Amino acid sequence: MLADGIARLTIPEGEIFALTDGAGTFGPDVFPTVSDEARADLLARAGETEVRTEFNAYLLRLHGQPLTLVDTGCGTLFGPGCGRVPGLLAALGVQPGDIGRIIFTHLHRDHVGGAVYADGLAYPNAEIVLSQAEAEFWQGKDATAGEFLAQVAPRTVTDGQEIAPGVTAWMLPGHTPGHMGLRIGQVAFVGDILHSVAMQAAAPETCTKFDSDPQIAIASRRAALSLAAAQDLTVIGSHFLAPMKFAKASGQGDGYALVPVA
Amino acid sequence: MTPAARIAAAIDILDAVLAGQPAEAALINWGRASRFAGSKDRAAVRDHVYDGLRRRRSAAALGGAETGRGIMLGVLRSQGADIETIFTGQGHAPAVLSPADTGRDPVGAEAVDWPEWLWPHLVAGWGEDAAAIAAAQQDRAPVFVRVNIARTTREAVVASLADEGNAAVPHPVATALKITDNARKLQTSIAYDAGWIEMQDASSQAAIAALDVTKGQTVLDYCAGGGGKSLALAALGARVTAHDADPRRMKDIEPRAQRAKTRIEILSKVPGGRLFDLVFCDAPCSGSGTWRRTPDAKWKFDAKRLSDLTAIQGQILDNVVGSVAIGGRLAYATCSVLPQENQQVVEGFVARHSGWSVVKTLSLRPGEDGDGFYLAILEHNP
Repeated sequence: MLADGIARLTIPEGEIFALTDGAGTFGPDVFPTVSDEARADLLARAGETEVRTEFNAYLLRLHGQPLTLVDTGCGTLFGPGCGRVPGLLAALGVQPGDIGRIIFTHLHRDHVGGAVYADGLAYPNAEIVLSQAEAEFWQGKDATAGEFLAQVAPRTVTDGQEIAPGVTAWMLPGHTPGHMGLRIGQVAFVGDILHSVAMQAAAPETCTKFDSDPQIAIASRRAALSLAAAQDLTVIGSHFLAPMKFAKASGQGDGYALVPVA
Repeated sequence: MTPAARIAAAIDILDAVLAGQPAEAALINWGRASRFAGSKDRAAVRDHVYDGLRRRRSAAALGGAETGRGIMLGVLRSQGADIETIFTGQGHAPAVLSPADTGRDPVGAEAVDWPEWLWPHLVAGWGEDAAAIAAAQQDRAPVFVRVNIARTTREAVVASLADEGNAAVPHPVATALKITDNARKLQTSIAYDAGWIEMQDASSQAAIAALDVTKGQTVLDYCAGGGGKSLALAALGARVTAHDADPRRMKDIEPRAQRAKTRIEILSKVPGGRLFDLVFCDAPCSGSGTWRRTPDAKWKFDAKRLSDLTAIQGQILDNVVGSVAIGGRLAYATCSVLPQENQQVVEGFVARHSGWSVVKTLSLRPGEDGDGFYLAILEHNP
């Protein structure tokens, strides 16, 4: 029996645990191009009344590889409702020192916040991997990401590069300049290309105010979802809501429909 | 100015060009020094100079010398003009003919005004058609506009232009109109200001149509330049991202997009990732399919430049291959008629990158329906 806040996907390469670090809601300002009517319509179709989000990090237990985190959650930056990742890892019997690698999709605070404590690194033994473009973007910036990068010696990767055996970097820029997905066999980590499935899957043109380049973000969203639909990939999004932590995509009109993986 | 004085002015300007000045600079210098010349004089002189440059080799043979005088004499002879009434030596007219002005009939590549060194290459690409390809560039280019059919119709544009004294007729490409009268006034027309038309050669429009872009597709226009093709793609409903190795060349895209009431994203650096349904490379090239518009370039082009260009063209395709979405397409285009810049570049790319193959090509000849243009569309099948 898994603790509340953990979902598991078993794949030929090993296991993926989705760890729900916390939850929140997005106001209308997060989707500035969406009218109030369109927003209400999209939410009604999803059976929701407001744009809910969850902040996900992932533990990869892949055969023959060090325990790996994909992102780290919010840490202490988003208040007491977030920062559950260390506790969820403990529930799986994993201590911070056991994590051998962290792969970052990007360095927004809800992804990197859990990697840093006031007095140092949360996962002292982890190798840090992120895209070269993301590292270049944040290097030296007065932000959590910049401060984090100043404390580590990251390994940077580019599109299509193998991060570990069977784990491939998949550049999906636009949300940030170096936003990166991951491919592991039939699994596709898509990071923040979907901030809200309700708002963006059926209408992939919808961007968030957090996207650094909306047009490129749209191209990434379309490229990723159309590939996932065409190849029947299992999609894993950083803001997916329980019970759909793992999903399948299919084309629907001008956009995509996502359904949970059983 | 008398007709003969205009010829004399063209002779002086051609001499300046032969001495190494760019044609446009030589025309501007002459214009500044010739306050007496009216707008009709300037237009006529300009036409003479360009006629001479287009036919520089054949006219020099017909006129007896590769000088301004020889070239203009040759041009007039090829037109069957009454030479004796022009070369009178009276007033500002050119000096009377002498035995040195005796010409001969041009032969071979000379007769079609093609650079000798480049003739074997054109023959390699086109065989018996090479002479016609070259000869098509001896005369002035027709003028075409692209109608923004997302916002209006060709019929409405023809009517609007007719009101202002411009005449236009439909071209076989669905977006194109051929301007048959008063082409110089197009950019002051209402249709232009309203964003209904853009200046664009019909062959470029045919190439855009051949890309079969559908609404909402993401397109990277990697060598966007001034953005003519970006705008044409956006008008088809594509979501266009424009890039150019020299971002300064793209400064006109934003105002043009605003006039067309569309949006084009301009990026100086292409983000990593296989994102684009179509990556379109309208590569820098010799321009040998458009040399009737830039005849100066025809005579300045050399083997070193050709080899530099083919290296750049191959490099461009190598640069963008990683930006094509899985299942997407890569398109390569030039306004060249040389096989080295077209088929051979594509063959080189296919040899370097496994899984890529050509699914469609378009090879347009320069002529009355448009400029010379080449397009190849490639797909990847792992």
